[in-house]
Amino acid sequence: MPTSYAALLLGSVLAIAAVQAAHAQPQAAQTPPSADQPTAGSAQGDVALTIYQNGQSLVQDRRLLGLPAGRSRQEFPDVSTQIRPETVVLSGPGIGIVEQNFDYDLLTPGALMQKAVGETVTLLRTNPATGAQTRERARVLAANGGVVIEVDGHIEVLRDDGLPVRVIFDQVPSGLRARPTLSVTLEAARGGTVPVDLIYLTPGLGWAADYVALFDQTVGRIDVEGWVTLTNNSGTSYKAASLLLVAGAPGGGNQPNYGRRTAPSPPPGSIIRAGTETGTRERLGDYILYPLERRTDVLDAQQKQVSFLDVKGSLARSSYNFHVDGFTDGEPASASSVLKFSTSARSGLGDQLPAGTVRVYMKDASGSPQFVGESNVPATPMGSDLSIVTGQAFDVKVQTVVEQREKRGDARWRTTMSYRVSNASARPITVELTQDGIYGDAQVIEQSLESERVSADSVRWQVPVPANGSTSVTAIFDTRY
Amino acid sequence: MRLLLFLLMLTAPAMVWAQQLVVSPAPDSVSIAIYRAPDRRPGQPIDRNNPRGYALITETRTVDLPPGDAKLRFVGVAEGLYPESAIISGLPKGVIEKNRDSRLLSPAGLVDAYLRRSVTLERTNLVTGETRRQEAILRTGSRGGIVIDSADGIEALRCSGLPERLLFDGVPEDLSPRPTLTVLTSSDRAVRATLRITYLAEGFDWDANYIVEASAVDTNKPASAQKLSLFAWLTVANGGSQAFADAQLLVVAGQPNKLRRGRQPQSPPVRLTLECFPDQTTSDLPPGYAVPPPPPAPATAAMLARESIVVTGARMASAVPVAAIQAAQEELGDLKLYRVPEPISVAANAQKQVAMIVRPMVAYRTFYRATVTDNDLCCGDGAARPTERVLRADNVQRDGLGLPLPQGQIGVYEPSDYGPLLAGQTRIEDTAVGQKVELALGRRADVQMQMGAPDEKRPREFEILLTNARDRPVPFELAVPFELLRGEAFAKVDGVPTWTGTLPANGERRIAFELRKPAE
Repeated sequence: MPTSYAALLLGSVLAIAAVQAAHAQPQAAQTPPSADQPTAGSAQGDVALTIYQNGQSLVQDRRLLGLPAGRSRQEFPDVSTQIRPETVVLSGPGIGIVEQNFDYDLLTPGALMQKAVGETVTLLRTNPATGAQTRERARVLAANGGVVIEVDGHIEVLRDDGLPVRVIFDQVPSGLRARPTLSVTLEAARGGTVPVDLIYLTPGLGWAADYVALFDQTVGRIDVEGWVTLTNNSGTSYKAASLLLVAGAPGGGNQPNYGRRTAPSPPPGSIIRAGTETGTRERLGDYILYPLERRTDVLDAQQKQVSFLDVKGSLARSSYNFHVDGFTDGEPASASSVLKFSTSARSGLGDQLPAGTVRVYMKDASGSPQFVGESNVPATPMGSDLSIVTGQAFDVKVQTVVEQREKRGDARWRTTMSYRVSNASARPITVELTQDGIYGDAQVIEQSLESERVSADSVRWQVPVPANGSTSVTAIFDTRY
Repeated sequence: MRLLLFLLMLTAPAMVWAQQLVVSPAPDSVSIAIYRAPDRRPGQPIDRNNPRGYALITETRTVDLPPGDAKLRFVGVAEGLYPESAIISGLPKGVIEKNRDSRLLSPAGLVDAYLRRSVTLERTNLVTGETRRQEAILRTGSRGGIVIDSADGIEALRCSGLPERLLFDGVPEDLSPRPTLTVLTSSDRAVRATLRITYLAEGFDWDANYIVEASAVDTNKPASAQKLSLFAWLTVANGGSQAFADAQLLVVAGQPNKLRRGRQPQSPPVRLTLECFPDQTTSDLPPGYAVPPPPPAPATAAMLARESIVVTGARMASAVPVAAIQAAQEELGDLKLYRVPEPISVAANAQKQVAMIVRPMVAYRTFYRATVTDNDLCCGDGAARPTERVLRADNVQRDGLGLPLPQGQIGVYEPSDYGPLLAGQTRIEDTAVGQKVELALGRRADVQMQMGAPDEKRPREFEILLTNARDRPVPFELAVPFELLRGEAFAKVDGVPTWTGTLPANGERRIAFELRKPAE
């Protein structure tokens, strides 16, 4: 068994435990009608959904079954159309499972005729001139390309004359179903109405977090609203379901991701310093649980959002950064606008953030919030420092010039770089300027501003730039390449 | 946990059903802020059929809420709505949940909704015209044909060759004509609420379209007296089918991050294909036998006439239009916001232009430019090549400019006796105040650069011949992006050794330089 699948199963077991804890008392579920019986409405009972962020979801469906004593075959219509039948677990008091089947022989006119081969059907012919109807019995001999029938000892092809003929079948052959159907043969100790729990995994349901951050630059605060965005592509609606969302993905890296976000989009927000605080949210092992307060309908092809976070006036500040990769000349290019904030309790936010998208808004001159950029955030523990790139600053540009490059000896180069940081906005700023790609044993011989060697590969300056002005930084590097 | 469990038991599923539907048919007022397509490069025009930018739409709506739970449906929102971005404020008790439903009312949707339910089947007698109705039960969903179950027995719909149709009792409440945004909310009492709904929607785009009219180079006047007129249209496009009347229009310049977005949940298939039994007969045509298509219709007289129309109207005096209203610029964080001063309509599938920048007197200079390349040094063939004409201005107040210039396309015109002539088309990147603006107008054959082929004996020494076929002197800039040992009148511009000078009228100049190390 692949490890990821084991992890998924482990996750499921944990989640089942959680769901059973959360939904220990069954609602008064109506007795569902049998699948063969024509009926209006859904055969689902009391449904609880546990939805993970990797597109796998656990459905727990508590149905009331009218069971005869002994062995019987029960069908379960209205399960997810994308059900993974191999994950089905059925349990109930006094019930033993004999076998589980997943049948996908669908009822269509073609299948109906195929199954009628060798059987007798009724033909109702209509005379196009008089409208008179004649009824006769016919035996279906074959249905390959066209239907060959035997009527009164003659062999003919159905509708060979192009005239109207109604073919009436006596019954729907057993085994043909309107939809793929799960059936379980079980053995009941006693007859009667028994509540059973049907549990299975299905793709097609997923969730992500969406954050709305309203940033007030003058006071350095953000208001953060968090929304859970739940997507149902499973082909099935779940009515009055109780919902539990689990932040974190139990294994299953090799499972296709049916969630809403598939492609990772650069540049993501990054955790500068991971937090060490624990929030008040319910946890299950390493997962954080987001139960919904009320039952809700999760309809097919629906995207649903429910609020889970609303914090006002958390501390935040804007900043700029610019990366130069290697010693290259460049036209003036915009620095990135960065929003920095903390998820610690002290700064005001005080919550962990499930992975999702942060959309940042600022107020325009008339006071309406306007969109200023968005970024993905990874799952962020409480107490972390986050840095989100929201876009490229129109007014803050950096131009790099290689002033001089000299070869010194066999494997030494001396490079003179100058960086001109300009600021066309009316407030003074600080730009975090990083020269990357200098490699291991490099030295900064001379520089016009004190730098910080952030790694073997990079040096960084904090460049103060006056309002409507510019600052030039020069540095001489001694490098191997 | 126990408290939660208790709450769960209290909020029985029955409560969910006690919702009243409140429909908000249209917004009272709309404001649209349009953002440029993130991956559209400067100079690349808007794709009008599929604008890849987006918009932040803010609507105010008035709704009458009943007491208790209510389901609020918003009609007339942009069809490219990103539901996860919707923010709704003004509800008395806030939003319980937001939903975007995309199960569409369609033939297949109806059949699926009525699966295992009773419908009416109507048959028409083709001779008498008499119709007969009977109850039937749908035994299959929409995929692969329909099987019905009636008092007559089991039959396949529309496989008999007789007219048959299905009649449904009502529209299933889950199905809607188009994807809709609904909100579940609640109120203690009946109340009239004014809501503000803000959402992002795709299917919009904008661009700045500049018109530059430069006076012809006049050497009799001092260089400082040369002025150009800069004008820019704010061009917005709405690729959706939703029109917005009397909207406040804003556009945002700069580059906010926009993530690539996954697919929204799609409606299940809407087409109903009725498959029947195998239906070949003994006289069917073999596959592939088809009637040849008819020949194309001959061109009509109108079409022929259209191709030979000649415009004979008077020549316009200036390429730059006169603006009655102009978008005003504001700061928005690290972005720039442009506000159209009065409400305007943004029609569906339409492009619209409003003036955004008017600067009639901008000081500039024009010159010719050439750059020495690696190829010239190693293996040049000594052939002459045309050089590029460039307009340069500084984006500063003193020179009549000094305002943010958003990226876009530029058409440069020069006046002539025949009216303005297009001198070149180019593009501009997002340009902040204080940056220089350089517009390359294309290569000009009158001013050429000729570089001698490299000499193996003296691999570091080169000479360049610059020729001018015009009847007046022209300024020239020659860039040599290599380290020079010697070079007369070379100075570093942005780190690149550059010769700056003037070529005499109908004359030539020779420029010699020596590299620090030979070309490789």
